[in-house]
Amino acid sequence: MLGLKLSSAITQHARSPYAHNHASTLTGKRTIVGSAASLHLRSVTNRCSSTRDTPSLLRAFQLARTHSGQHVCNSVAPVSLSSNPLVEQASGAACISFHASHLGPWEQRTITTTAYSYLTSLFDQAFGARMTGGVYMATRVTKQSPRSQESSCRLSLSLWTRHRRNRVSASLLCMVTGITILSTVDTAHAIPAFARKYNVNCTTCHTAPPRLNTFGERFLENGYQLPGTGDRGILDKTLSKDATLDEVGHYLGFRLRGNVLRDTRYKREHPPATEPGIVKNSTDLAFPETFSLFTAGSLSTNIGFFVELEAQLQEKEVGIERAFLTINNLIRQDLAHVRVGLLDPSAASSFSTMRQQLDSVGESLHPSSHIVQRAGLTPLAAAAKFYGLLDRSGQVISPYAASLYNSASETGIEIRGRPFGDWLQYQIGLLNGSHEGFGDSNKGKDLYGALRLDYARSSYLSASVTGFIYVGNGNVLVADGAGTRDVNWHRVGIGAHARYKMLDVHGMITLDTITRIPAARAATFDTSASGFTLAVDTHLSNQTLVSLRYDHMDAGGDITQRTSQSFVGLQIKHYVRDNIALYARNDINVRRAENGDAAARNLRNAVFVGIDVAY
Amino acid sequence: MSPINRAGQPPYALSHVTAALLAVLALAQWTTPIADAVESSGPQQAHARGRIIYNRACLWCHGADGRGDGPAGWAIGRFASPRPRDFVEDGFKFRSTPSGHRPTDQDLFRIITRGIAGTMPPYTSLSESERWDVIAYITSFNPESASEPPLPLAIPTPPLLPADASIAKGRHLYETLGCPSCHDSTAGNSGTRTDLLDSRGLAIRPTDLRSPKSFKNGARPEDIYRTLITGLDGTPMPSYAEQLTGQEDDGWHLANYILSLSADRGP
Repeated sequence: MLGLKLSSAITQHARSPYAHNHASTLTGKRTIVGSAASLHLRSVTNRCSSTRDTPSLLRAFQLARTHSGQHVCNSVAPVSLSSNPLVEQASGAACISFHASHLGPWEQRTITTTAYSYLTSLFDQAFGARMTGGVYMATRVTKQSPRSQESSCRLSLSLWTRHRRNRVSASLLCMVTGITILSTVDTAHAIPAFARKYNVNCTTCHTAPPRLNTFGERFLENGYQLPGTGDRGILDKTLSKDATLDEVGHYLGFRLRGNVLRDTRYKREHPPATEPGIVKNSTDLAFPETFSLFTAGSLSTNIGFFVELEAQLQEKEVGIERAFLTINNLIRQDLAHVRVGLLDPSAASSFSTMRQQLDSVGESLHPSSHIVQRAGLTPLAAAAKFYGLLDRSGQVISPYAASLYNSASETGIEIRGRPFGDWLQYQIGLLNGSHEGFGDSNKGKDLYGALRLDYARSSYLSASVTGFIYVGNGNVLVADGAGTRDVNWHRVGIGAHARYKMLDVHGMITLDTITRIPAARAATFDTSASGFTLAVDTHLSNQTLVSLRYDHMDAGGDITQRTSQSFVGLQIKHYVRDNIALYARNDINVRRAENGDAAARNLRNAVFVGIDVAY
Repeated sequence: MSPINRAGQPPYALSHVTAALLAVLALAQWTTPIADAVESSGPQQAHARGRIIYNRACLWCHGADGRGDGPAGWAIGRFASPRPRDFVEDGFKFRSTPSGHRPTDQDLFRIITRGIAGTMPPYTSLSESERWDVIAYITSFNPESASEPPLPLAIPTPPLLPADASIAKGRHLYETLGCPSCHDSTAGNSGTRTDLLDSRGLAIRPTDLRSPKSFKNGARPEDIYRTLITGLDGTPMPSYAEQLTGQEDDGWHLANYILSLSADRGP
């Protein structure tokens, strides 16, 4: 994998950016692949700095102006060059935008061709090699408003050499460059896709990412449309030829996070029946741990989508975390929103499993005995809480796995809405089952329902309470000595949140029960478990957030393994920018260690220092 | 061949799910615009429709009573400016009217349509009539709205092309009018000035003039001209209407110079 280093943007002022008399401004952003290219590119930069008023480009704008009236040639930005000396290739892309009235297809084509020539000459100049191949990525015209009778055109080109060996790499570089450009062009404020789309800061929707404020909650509920409205989606724009390349950046984002430093301390190192090297006092470097690529937004009015691809880099696992469609405002506004696909049921709840400031730190299970070796640090109210449960494929369900209504993702369909006003939200869902893979391994479906009461009017205050019930239907297995038996795993719970200015308090209490337990296990299997999580986040300043979380689990299941657990976690997060956070966190076990035989007690203290970047 | 399950029966479960999905998709077409409950026209009806829209789209930041204290309002600027507009008592930043006056309805329409860079999304997803309905509602928060409608300042047609001479003159005006005291003499290094406060006593940063996309009052030449002559009430940005009276060209020189600082013309 090639490393990618982004150099700072180099801006060259030719003349006024909106000059009508042949003037243009060139913004160069250079993407450098490989350190060896730096020196080379520096000399290229120097050469390009003298490239003012490149005749071919100006000719294009002049042509456009001649044919389409004034207000042409607003900007040329950015031009990006990539160079990889190892494979002797060059690639690049440019995005040219301008406003023009009555711009016809002939003018577009002419501008495209001329800009292509310009780019080719720039490449010749930059890399000393003739560019022999190229492709027009897109040309589009957007009618902005009937009153202004003004059109906006964005044009993008990518070029690469015809060298056969390099074609694939060059294409990849073009893609990376294109994404870099698209991500950079509109980032006056912030950051991920929705912020780019609406040209707003993250704080429009978040108290502090990933926590949502009330506006963000209603945006989510409305299927990624502004609350109370039905946005035009990308499909509508494509059909009417309104879409621009910028739209890609409006629908695409990523998040990279992990612990640069991870320090764990145990009461007892290397206890029996654990793998070597797992349960030991250690200080590790671990960044990055998780990379998420997500795309979301509205496809068409009242039809939205969300797809999250997650890579666990340490475990080398990549998969689709969530992927669903939303169909919104059925019959009338806020009456019914439907989600179908791989979804997180608690997304619109008062306590959302996926939106915790203290990120989940995974547990370690022994690969053969499946005994918990290292306790997990997760919101325990959302966790499975049972020792000895198996999913329907026979795999052990970790007591720390987010499950049932609070699962990170399950396949199903749900309907929710606010038919009586903002104060009450209903939610009903049907899932294949708990921890099911693709498809359903039994006939039974799991059912859940929730009611959420809201107060969100004024005084910077919002509060809500959500009560939910999850009814399992043969959704897990328990071993009874002679094999495994279907059992039903249910959950009821209450979640709540209250936000006032800088203070965000949220918590949940859950009670899980197992029914239809085999008689052979009745004496050795605790059929009930409970969990409690309470979290407080507060801003100390605009950039600094302190989070405190208490987690308690009264575990159930196999009585030889089940051990209750209580942890307190404290985190200080500093947002260098809205989308870049550094954090330091300490989790302390507040239960007695005893002999350290149980993982839930053995882990005494954990310190994490990490980075969380979203773009 | 029709699908048959192991028991030799048609797969009812599958067909039921398929039918349910088809029904859902069909229902998806059956959507209605907001505020359809109040259909007739007239000021009272517009006010009533506007209230429905406001409570669904605007309340989260501006608050139920238009005080700018909505449940999400604090998060936008946190400990600093901006906060959502208080429609009851605050002055309005973005106007075409003289400093200290309330905005015209057209000003409000422009803001709702374009949004405010960084803080408020553009509500083009509301229809034009829905936007006017919202304006009918939010202007009712302030009792002064019943008085005479405000008169906008005239913005002359831009006579000047942003040629080098105009930009040079704009730069000179930029220095003589004292713009660098907030926006920095290198034009736009807004990070250097952190001691400015808005009318609520919240820290406010000068606009980075190198980034037209962040120009809250718009980045077209006429937007900049308007900002210069009206000022931004409630912020340290004063009105330069007095200095520019009879010197309209100077406003365009300044606008030309400010726009020359960036390659990007903004939204």
